[in-house]
Amino acid sequence: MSRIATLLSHPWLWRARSTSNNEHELANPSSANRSDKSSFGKTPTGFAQLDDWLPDGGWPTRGLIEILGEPHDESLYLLAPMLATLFFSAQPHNEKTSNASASALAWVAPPHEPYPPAFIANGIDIKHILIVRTDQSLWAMEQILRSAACRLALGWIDNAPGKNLRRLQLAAEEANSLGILLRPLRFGSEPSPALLRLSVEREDAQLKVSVIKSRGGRLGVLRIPEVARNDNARSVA
Amino acid sequence: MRGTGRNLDLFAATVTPTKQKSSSDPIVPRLDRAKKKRLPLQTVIESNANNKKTVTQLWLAIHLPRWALDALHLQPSALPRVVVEAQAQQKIHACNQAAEQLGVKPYMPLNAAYVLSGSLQVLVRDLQREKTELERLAEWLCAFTSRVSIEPPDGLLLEVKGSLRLFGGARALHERISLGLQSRHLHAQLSMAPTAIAALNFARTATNTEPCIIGGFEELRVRLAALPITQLRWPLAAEKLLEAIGVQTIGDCLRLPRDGLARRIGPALLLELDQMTGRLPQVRRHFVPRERFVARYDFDMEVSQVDQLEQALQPMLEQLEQFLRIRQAAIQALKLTLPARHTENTLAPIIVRFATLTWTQAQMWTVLKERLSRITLSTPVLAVRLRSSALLPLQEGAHNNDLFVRTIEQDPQRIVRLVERLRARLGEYSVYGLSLLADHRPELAWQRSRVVPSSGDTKYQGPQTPRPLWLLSVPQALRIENSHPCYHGRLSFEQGPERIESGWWDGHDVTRDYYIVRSAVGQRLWVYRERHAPHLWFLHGFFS
Repeated sequence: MSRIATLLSHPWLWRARSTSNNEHELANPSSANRSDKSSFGKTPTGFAQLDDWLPDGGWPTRGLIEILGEPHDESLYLLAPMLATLFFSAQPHNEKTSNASASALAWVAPPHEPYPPAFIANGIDIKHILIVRTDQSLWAMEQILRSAACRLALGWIDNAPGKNLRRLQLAAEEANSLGILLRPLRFGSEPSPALLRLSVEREDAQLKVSVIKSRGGRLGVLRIPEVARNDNARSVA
Repeated sequence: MRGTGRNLDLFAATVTPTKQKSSSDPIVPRLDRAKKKRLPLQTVIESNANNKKTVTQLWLAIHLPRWALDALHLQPSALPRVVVEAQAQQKIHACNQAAEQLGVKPYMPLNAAYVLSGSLQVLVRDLQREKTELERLAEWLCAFTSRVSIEPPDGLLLEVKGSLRLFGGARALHERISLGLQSRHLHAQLSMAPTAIAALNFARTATNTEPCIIGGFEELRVRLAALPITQLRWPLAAEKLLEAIGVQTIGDCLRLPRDGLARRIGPALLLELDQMTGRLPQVRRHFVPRERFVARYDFDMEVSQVDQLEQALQPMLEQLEQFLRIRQAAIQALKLTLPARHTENTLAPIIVRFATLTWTQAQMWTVLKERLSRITLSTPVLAVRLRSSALLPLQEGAHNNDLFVRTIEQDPQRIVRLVERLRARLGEYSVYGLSLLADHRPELAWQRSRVVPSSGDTKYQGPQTPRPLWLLSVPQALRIENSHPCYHGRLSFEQGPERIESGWWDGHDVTRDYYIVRSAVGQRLWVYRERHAPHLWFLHGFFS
């Protein structure tokens, strides 16, 4: 039994049509050594439509995700709920949870200065944020993914040959970490080794999310209505 | 007073009382005599205490005057041969006897040497080689005492007090070591003295006619007094200074008042003098021979099948893993020797190299197995000998078996190491965390924090009104069309204004009305209008 569990949790093992999370719990009911469920359990996207569409019922928990969108546009809007769950900041009215141990969130070569009050407003604990300003973003990204010191690494990588992206994907898989690349829309036609590729565009009051590639999942176009976000201060936590 | 050094010796370290001094060294410079009257009481007491000093250590120093040449291990040659400095290749560092006979000397320019001899063989000094060869020599000297220390670039020191009995006294030990050095074709000068620095200095001036063995402090004092300052390898400035005030030997130097001497030559050299005379002890770092794993398995009978080797190797590798685990070390290569009955038939040693630092039995075995599958035993072997490369230290925690599981867990050290690595390549200020500051002005409400993860106080939760995710470090002026701000088209107002007025007291006065607006393409922006004339509009951030 435990052997199967070890095997199933191996990062190199990919199961077609994996509803991996359920199987994990079956295979490893005690899951004593993995008490931190969110690292193996699914990470909901926060958008029911997208959750249903994705093979794992949420974002993959390791590997490389690529989100294509216009700069400082709505790509991060897609990620905000996920960031809030992973790097949740203990609000005064919430009891302190074990998430105090949540590891870092790395921002590699962001286009502007990320503004801390916005993180707090979205329920993200700025304590965990690590910002790396560099023109060697591929190298930095690979180091971060390989070290597995960060729960999630966001990288703004414009131009990268597929070979280098493949390195990142391998690094993430080997070290069991998750990287998200945010790239301009024009790279949509280029091949990429990422597990999941989405492109995000705005269509009136909707977000048009196209699943360009999804390992073990379906491709297609989703339209997510943009919720009124004037309440984004303190609503997510 | 030569020999085993059991003498009780009267030896004053700095300023000896007048009576003793005149008996041993009647020529006292006038300068010194004048100052002697001001002999501080403290010093007299100290020197009395020193009178009871017994010899607790006996140092054997080996000076290798032609080390630059000898370390290259060339065939002895009758032709003149010189070694030039690695940096300045025009300067001779060492030369062999043939060259010396022609008149070539160290520190001579190479051109001058060419004048003396046309058939000069010129070699370039190899500092790395000298260092490793010196370590190898130290490994051999560990046979005589456990306390060997290296004095780069051309000296070795052995503390042999405890070994005298075993090797039959100082003279016998001296002889034994010099014979050993001779058999290695090394030019060496040896000396023995109760302090390490003194021994080294005597070795540098020693001649090989009579062994220089100083057993007691009295003899040491006499011999040191005659040692010229120029032999000490002191900085040139100090040498010149002492020469200028008429000090030529250590004896002269010791006769000077301590405080004045300290002022002139600095505390470091004074400490060296004290350590040379035995007034103060010297802490020396002992040479630790490199550790290796060596194991041997003898078969009951000659073996000609490779699988039988495998059976013998498995437990050896297990031992090796244990050995490495205890030392938190790893290896990069393994050498396998398979001795046969007749040495001439013995197979060439098999050397297996690993791509990364390796310490587990499984890792080593997979590589070794591949290698063994390629060999055939042309002759039956008697035993298996396994020898590891030098041990290399592993990072803390690398030996944990559950490395894989740990990658998911949070390890505070991991992030620290990551940040260190990133900073090392990208620069100190390229990697930072965020923290909040209690200020109403948006651009001053945060700062970069050196510590990651940052540990700022979390009480202040920031403003209660929406803030953009991206803040422009320099606000971007907006075009005005028909008294309406534009950014890639006309902007439509969504929320606002939020008035921020602050900072009139520190020169960064801010009086702005902030609005959240939506651009023609649907992007949400954070813009403000200056409240004072000319009421310009600026873009300050992007929502996301």
